[in-house]
Formats: sequence, C-alpha cells, structure tokens
Amino acid sequence: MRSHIFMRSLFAILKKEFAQIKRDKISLRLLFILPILQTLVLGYALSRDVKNISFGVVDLDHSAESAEVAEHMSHNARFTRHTTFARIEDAREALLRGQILLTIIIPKGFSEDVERAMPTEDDPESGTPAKVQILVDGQDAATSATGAGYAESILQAWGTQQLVKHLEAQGIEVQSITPLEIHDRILFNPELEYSWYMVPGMVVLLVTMVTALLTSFSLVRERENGTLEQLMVTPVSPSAVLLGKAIPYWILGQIVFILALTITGLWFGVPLTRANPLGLLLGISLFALTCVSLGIVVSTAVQSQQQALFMIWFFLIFFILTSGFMLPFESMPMWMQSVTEFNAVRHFLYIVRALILRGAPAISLWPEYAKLAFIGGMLFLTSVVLFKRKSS
Amino acid sequence: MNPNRLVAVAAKEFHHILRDGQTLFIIVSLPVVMMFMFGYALKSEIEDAPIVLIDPHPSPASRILAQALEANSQFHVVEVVAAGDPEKILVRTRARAIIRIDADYEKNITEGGAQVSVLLDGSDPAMATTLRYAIPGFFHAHIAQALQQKVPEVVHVDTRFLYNPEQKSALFFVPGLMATILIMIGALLTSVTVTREKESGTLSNLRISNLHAGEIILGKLTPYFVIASVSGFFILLVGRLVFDVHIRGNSGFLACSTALYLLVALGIGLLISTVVQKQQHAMLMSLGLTMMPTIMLSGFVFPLASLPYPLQILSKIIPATWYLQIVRGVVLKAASWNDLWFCALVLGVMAVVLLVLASARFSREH
Repeated sequence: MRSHIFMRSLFAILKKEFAQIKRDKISLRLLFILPILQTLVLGYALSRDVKNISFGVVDLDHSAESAEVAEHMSHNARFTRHTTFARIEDAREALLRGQILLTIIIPKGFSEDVERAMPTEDDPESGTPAKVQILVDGQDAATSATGAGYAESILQAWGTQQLVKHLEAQGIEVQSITPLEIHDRILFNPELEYSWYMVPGMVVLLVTMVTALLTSFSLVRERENGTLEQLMVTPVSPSAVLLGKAIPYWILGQIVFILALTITGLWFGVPLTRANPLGLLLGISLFALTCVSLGIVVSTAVQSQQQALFMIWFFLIFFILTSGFMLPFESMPMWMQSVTEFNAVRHFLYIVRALILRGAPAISLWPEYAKLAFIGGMLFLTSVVLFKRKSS
Repeated sequence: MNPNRLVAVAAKEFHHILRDGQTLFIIVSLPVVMMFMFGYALKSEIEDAPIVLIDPHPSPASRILAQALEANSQFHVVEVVAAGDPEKILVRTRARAIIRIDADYEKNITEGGAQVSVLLDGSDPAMATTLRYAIPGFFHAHIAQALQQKVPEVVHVDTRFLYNPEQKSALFFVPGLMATILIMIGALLTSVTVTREKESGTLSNLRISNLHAGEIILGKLTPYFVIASVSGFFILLVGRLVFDVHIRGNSGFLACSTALYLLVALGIGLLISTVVQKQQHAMLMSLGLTMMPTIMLSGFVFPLASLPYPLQILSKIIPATWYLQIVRGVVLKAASWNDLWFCALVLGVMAVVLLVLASARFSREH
C-alpha cells in the first residue's frame, strides 16, 4: 500500500516536472541547440595540430642550394605562407608582431658548407654539417615546439636527400642511410582527423555541463520560490520529490547526448557505426546519473542559482582539465592520475572514445563501467542523504 | 547623473557581492587553482605513452632496446610479448602504439636491413603524430649509440625559441587565464546578477525610484569592474611570485588594454541581461556565447592559424583574440604600443559599440 502511494506521488511529480520543462521553451531550445551548434562549430576548431604555418626565410647565402631549401619548405603542406626577409632584424620584427611563427636563417657560405659536409674517400663519416638557424616565436610552448619540429625534420630530410644524391653521383647505391627500416601504420583513424577525437569529447562535456546545471537549477529555483517547501509539507515523501526531480533530467541528459552525438557525428563523419550501441547506452545512463547527482549535491549546498552556477563551473573545470579531453592524462604526474580515478568524466570519455574510435568490445571496458557505476552510485546516495537532511 | 546616487547603487552592489561569500571565494580561488593545475599537474607534451613491444626472439640487443625505450621519458613500455596480433592488442588495451621487431633483430641491426613495424592508435591524433615522429627518432639515436656509428648529418639545425627560451608553459596559461577569468566575471557574473534582480523584481524597485538609468548601469557595473581588475592583478601576481612570469613590456599599456577588455566583457554581460528574463537563460547564453569561444576560438588553447578560414574570421569578432595578443605581446615579447595599437583600437571600438547598445536597450526597458 505504501509503495502504491509512493508510486502515485512520484508520477504526479514527474508529470509536473515534465510539464514545467516543456513549458520553458527557451531553456529547452538552448539545451538542445547549444551543444549541437557548439560542437558543429568547434569540431573544426578543436585541433592541436599546427597547420598553415606562416614562416620567413632570411637567405644570406643567395645560392642555388639556399633557394632550394626555401623552396623545399614552402612545398610542404603545413608551411603555407612564405615571406622573404632581407635582414635578420626584419624577420625578428615580424616575429615580434606575431606575423610569422618562425623564420629560417641560411647563413653566408651555406652552399660551401653543404659541399664540405659530404663524406669523402678518406673520411667516410661526414665532416662538419652545414648550419641553419631557426628562430621560433616561443609564446605558446606547444605550438612553437610542434612547428619547429616540422621545420627541423624538413630541413634534415633535405640534407639526407643531398647526401643520397651525392653518394649516387659517386656510383654508390644507397638503399638506406641507417641499418634499420621503420614502417608505420595508423589504425582507427588513418587520416588523423582531429574532429573524430574531439567531437565525441565535446558532446560529453556539454552534456555534463547542461545536465548538472539544469538539475541543480530546477531544485534551487524551487527553493528560492518557496515551492519546494510547499511540496515538502504535502504527504509526498522527500524521496519521491527527489526522484521526481532527478528522473526527468536523467532522461533528458541521455536524449541530448544521443541526439547531439548522432547529429555532430554524422556531420563530421565520425565512425559511429563502430560503436556498440548498448555499450554507449549503458555508459550514458550511468554517467547521466553522476551528472544529475552532482546537480542535487550542489543544490543542497547553495542558496541561489548564481552560487549553483559557480560551484558547478568550479567542479567542471577540474573534471574537464583532468579528463584527458585535450591534454593527455598519461602526461600527468602519478598522484594526479590517481586523483582522477574519481573523475567520472574521465572514465566516460574513455568509454565513448574507445567504443566509437576503436570499436572496442564493451566487455573489455568493464573496469571503466564498474568505476562509473561506483562513482554514480555513491554520488547518488550522497545526494539522497544530503537532500533528506536539508528538507527535514 | 548624480555621483552620490551612483555611489549608493555601487555600494549596494558591493554589499551583495561581499555577502555572498561562496561566490566570491570561487571567483578568487578559481584562477589560482587553475594556475596550480596547469603549473604542476597538466602538460601538453606527451610523456609516458603506453607502448607494447613485440619481440619474437628475445636477445641481449632487444632487451637493451626495451630498457632504452622505458628510459625514454616519452614512452612507457607496458608489456613485452613474444607474439600476438598487434591490432587486437591495440583494440583491447590502453596501449597507444605497438612496436614489433623481427626475430633476427640482433643480427640485422649490425648487418643492416632490420625491419621494425610500428602500429599506432590513431584515435588520438596528437598522440599518434607525436609517436610517429618520436619512435623513428628514438630508433635512429638508439642504433647509432648501440653500434657506435655516426649517421652522417649534412644539415645541422639550431633552433632557438625566442621570448620563452625554456619553453615554460606558465607563459602560455597566465595570459590565457587572464582572458578567460575576466570574461567570466565581466559577462557571466554580471548578466546573471542583473537578471536575478529582474527575476526577484528588485530591478523594478530601482526603476521606479528616481534613479537615472545611467546611474543604475554604472552603479551595477563598477563593482564588477573592480573585482575583475583585482582578480586580474592577482593572476599576474601569482604568475610572478610562483611561476616566475615577469611582465617585460609596459605595464601601463597592459592595464589600459585590460580595462578596455573588461568594458567589452561588461558590455556583453549587460547586453545579455537585456535580452533574457531568467537567470538560467542568461547563464546558458553567457556560457555559450562568451566562455566557450573565449577558451576555444581565441588562440588560448588551439592555434589560430590552424583554424579553417570561416572560423578565422569568426575568431576576429571574439574580444579575447585581440586581448590575448596584447597580453602575450606585452608580457612575453615586451611589445609596445607601436606593435599592438590596432588590437587596442579594436577592443575600444567593441567596448563603445557594446556599451552603447546595451545601455540603450537597458534604458528602453527602464
């Protein structure tokens, strides 16, 4: 009998909550359109790859070789914008103004140095190599290191090419400069499309944010208006109120996730078909539970919607930064990696990416599912306890 | 406009902010916590990438190879196996790359013709790209050292990183945090507080009082301007004391540009609050229109030059793009007014347009 009353009051609250959500057209629109629109735009932006590098050349040698080096650079697809500077000072000025990312400086006497660097009969190992200098704008450590790395490897490849030409001219057949041949093959994402990696991640983040925020907002708003208190003085039990609040947002979070993932995934050609759909559903249902619980926990700790916003924002920044969303978590120190075991975003992100990109069997991800279930369950229990204490 | 009344509104707003200790605490501590995270826990370089080595016929040379791989800071050898399908290993485990050497590795490296195959997990393109270059680089260096043989080098490249010779990441995140936190306070906090007053009806109370619209606007915005300035100063201070980030250029110019940027942020916040009626909508709009673009499209995290053309144009209307150029320019490069006047001008124009538009809308509602 008691369970019958419980179910009836739960259904009543659910009905009220859904009606309220449906009535708030603006929130609903923002809820669905924002994640999709943002992912569509940012899917193009979220690339840590360095492309379209604008670079300068200061050629102090004016020889055929130095011209060839400059040419070699601009033929590379990554180095698109090429400016020639007469003096080093001009190139530095351009670096200062941020017009170029790097400049190569070919010193006077470069062509003779290349000649001298070649191995000869009496000295089979080569002589002193010819020098080329690269000046890089180091303001953004990651970009500048990547850009400089590309430039170095292009220049060195040119050098090796000269060496092979030189040896072949002497009648020595060259198969390989080193005793070792390395072949590489890239699985799962052979074209290395960044959007494949970033788009599912972006969807996860936006769903986390929206679900947690909306849950806590709906609770805090009712508390601010005093309607939550009114609910509490009715015979409806606090658990029914809590479930009635949690379930709609739990479902909404899952719908937003599936919808946003499908639309943006199709748009960017992310290989969604590789994923086990049941694996994804299980993941999002566990994860949405975590987000909803986080929203409830926060709502019990704050007095206003504004506080809820900033508190959730505070947590989320932590979760996002340590989730491996854009910075690899293998690079984090060990203690930080252990701390992030409690980060549900990290585990869910891992599941989503493994399922979609690698087509990993869901079974092989059981530790992640278990952790997700544990975190979600514990957080939900905490939220129930806190909510009951706050309401009584 | 009466200065006394303006001060009264501002004092009331200050009082509100100070009373809400929780929000204030988060606003002040968030940048500091983020700085420590970026400074000590987060790195964009790749370290300890998990690798599985397939070694069909273990030999002294291959054992040395495994040790050398492990000793390299970029790799972490999770497992050495004698046989196995590399694709399966990559699908089922956390390994990011599988390196397979041939059975005669020891013999072949001395006589030439050793074959090494590398299978990379392309799902994280940044990781795959790095490993794709790092693994051959490692092998060449390792073989040259093991055989004491010099690989002929024709061109020696000497790379120098200007402005940030030690490649400190602090120089990258301190300016980025300035841009993000200031927009958070200026746009997000402001739009949410103004709409809160709308929701609770206290804004109407202010309106029917004999206060001028300009007094309300200035009175409401001034405290946030002050708090954001303090917060920005705090970021620079922690950056200097803890992470050794010194301002090389003209601090006065930096301060003026920061003030302009803040005015832009406040303008956006005020504009949003005139468009929406509810805190929740204000918040979703601020997050979507200001926070995310500031983090993603301003050049803070992702390099601007790599963006496709339409997004490069879009990035030009994001205030943080211009502000970030100024902060990085002044702090790292000692760039001056001559180099950066255009960025400051753009910010100035944005500030005027946004504030005029927002005030006009606000007064009309008044």
